[in-house]
Amino acid sequence: MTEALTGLALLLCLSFLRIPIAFSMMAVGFGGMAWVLSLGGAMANVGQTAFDAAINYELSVVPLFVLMGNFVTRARLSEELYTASNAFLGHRKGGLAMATIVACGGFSAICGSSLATAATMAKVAMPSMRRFGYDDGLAAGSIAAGGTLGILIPPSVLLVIYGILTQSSIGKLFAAGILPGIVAVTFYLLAVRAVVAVKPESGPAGERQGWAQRGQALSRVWGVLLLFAIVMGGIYGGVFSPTEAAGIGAFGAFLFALARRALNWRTFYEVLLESAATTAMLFVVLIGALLFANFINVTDFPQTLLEIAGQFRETPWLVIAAILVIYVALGCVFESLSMILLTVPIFFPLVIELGYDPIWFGIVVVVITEISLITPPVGLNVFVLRGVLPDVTTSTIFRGVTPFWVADLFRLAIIVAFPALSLWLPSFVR
Amino acid sequence: MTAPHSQAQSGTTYWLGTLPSQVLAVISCLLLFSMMMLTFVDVAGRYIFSAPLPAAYEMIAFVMPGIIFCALPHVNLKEGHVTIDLLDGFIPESVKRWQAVIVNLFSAVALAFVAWRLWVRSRDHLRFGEVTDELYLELWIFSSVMSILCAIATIAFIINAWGYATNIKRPLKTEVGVTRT
Repeated sequence: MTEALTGLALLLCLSFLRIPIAFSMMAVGFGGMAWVLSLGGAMANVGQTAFDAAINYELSVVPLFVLMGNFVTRARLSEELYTASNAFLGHRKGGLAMATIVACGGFSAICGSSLATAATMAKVAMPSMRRFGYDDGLAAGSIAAGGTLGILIPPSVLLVIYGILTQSSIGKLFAAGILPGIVAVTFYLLAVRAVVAVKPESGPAGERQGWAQRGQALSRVWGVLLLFAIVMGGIYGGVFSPTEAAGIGAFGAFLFALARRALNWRTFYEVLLESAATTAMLFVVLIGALLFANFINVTDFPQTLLEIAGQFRETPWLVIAAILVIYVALGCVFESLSMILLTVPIFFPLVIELGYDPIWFGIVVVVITEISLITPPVGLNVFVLRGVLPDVTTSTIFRGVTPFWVADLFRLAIIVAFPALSLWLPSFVR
Repeated sequence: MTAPHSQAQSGTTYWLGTLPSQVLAVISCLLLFSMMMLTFVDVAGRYIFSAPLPAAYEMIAFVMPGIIFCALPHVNLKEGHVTIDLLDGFIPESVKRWQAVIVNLFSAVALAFVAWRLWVRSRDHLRFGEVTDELYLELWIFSSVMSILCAIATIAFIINAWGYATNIKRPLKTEVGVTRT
């Protein structure tokens, strides 16, 4: 117990000193292992873990989905999505913000990253909301919140990493994300309604469009639908492994980007380099997290936690509630990926021991991570928007995101209370 | 990700840091693209021509470390790692410089250690003649290349630390990257 808590405290200190989380975790993981086991064991563990983590077929799904997301972003499929959802929703009060949410949901279905979704949609949705005189807070808030859908609606890089960490089926995790994603979109739409009900001037109605225009706009999103159908259909139907689906998806997105003349040699190289760099960054964190998790696992910490949880066998939801509170608190400080890598190895055995479903817990973790992306002080999605929209202040965005944050809490409660919402679709996955 | 900085570079920085990181970044990109094509050709071969690529599984697995470790010097040099920069607002500018030196040296030591352990691992692979399951590729080649790339990435951290210490490189205004999950 002492070793693990000292390790955690030291890890936090090092990280707050601005040492990259990956290297803090490596150092503490190695030091702790040497303390608890032996120096020789700890040293062997480092080489072994680094080698095995890098040479891993299952993990190759990560760079490929990242690459797909980056190609899709360049291919400007986001524009059609926005036009189409705008054609249906734009004439309502707050309709453009609603269209933003729906378009974000659609974009999430082909992009596995929340930050990329927010950044991409900001470029498309913000100018048009400004043109119609939307309140900056509502406009930016809807983009920041809508962007978080990226990691929930499949494909999702975060779900892949959770799947690898816990050896859960990635296909099932992806299927599990769909219904909660739709719930999320619905709740966000309600949040927009609530905002315009209180302050009608924040989201004036746009022009109503006829059915001919709607049909035309809808017919242009075929690219997105096709990519989603191939990738997800392939995984659900058992036609492709997740890695293969990601490879096909990346290739398809590459063709789209080519066909739309969105690529020249320079941007092509940028897409590849960005994806490779993200991959490298993710893997260093992963190796660090594995070393840290190995250390935690040789201490008596997991056992102690299990014993404590064992006392709550009658009321397991108390443990879940405690975990949720810890996550929301950590989410204020930690970046999403490191939070998951750090906590899942600790909490996962606990949750399973209490008889909960691993797939369901994965969705819960991702939803919490989504919330952390828009929670001050370090809501990453908010900072991404700051980068894309330099003239909107951080406080404006946080203010605008508040109704969505509240909607998120309701959604979390629903997903926790009704596991069937997450577990119904995966039951059909082969 | 940090913004590009256009400071004058010394020859050493260029030859040990910038040039290798750029060359390796290109290799990493090529590997990533070929991984995408490999999976595509493999699946297309399987379903259209019922002739899957032999050992595609293994090839893809062994391209992974190439992508990761070839991109690593670039990531290190650009300081693209995930950090908690919550306290940045409270740290005085004068301290930031030395903080950056310490952070980079710490990372360098950690990564150098990984490089060393991979090297030891590669010696073991060589000694026991370990090979891959399908193609019988010798494992020690992969582990030693990983180790060397780690060492090059370590140099990138040292160059950063040196840059901050000598004021060639200045701590940048915090900006959160768009490339993360």
